[in-house]
Amino acid sequence: MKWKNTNNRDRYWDWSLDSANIEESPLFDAYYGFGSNGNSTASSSVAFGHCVTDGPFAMLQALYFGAEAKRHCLSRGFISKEEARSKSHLYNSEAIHGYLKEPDFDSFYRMLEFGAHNAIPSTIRGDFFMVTAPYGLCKNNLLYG
Amino acid sequence: MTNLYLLDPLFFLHHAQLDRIWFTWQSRDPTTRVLQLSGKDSNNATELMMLEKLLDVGGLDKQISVAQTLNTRAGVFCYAY
Repeated sequence: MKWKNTNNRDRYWDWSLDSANIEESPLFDAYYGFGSNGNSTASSSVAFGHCVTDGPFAMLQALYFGAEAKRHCLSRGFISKEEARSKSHLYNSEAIHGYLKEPDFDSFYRMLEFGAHNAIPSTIRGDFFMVTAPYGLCKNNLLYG
Repeated sequence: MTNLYLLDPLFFLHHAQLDRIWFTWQSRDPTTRVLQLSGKDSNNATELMMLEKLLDVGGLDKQISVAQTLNTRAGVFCYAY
């Protein structure tokens, strides 16, 4: 993980640095990061996950899942380490170098979309897993409702 | 790009990284790449995405075109990575 936080620098999560073991990324640290995986001893929640019970967003309540009105806690449910490793070739540094070699926008965005873009949500699952436009469809709910 | 995963706050950092890779790809040949587009309009799958299409921001601000969003270092934006 690398933070860029000076003026006029956008902040991002460079997951290629975490591709060897994404769940151990400092991004999921309970104190310095966004909290860890869903807690398997807590209630189950949407999309194969459980409630996140540590970090700054512990037990964050959501009103929708996708376009469906469904009150639930912020959910994460990592796939197994073996499954995660089997997807890491889609977002490691070699993958990024490969995407950058694509000659035109059409091939570039297809590779990036079906590779890294989808690999991360399908590894973390839970609220991140939803692939249809959620709150954007709900006119009265801006981002977190 | 097209899909949204808005509840988990990680969403923003994930998409910023995707945009950064796009920015890096554009920067390797900005003359031909900054305004390159292809594919369907995700809000209307029967239409192709076009540079002059206006983006819906839910009435929060005035609408701007897709073309106005493709360069992070000019126009309405002013940022790098």
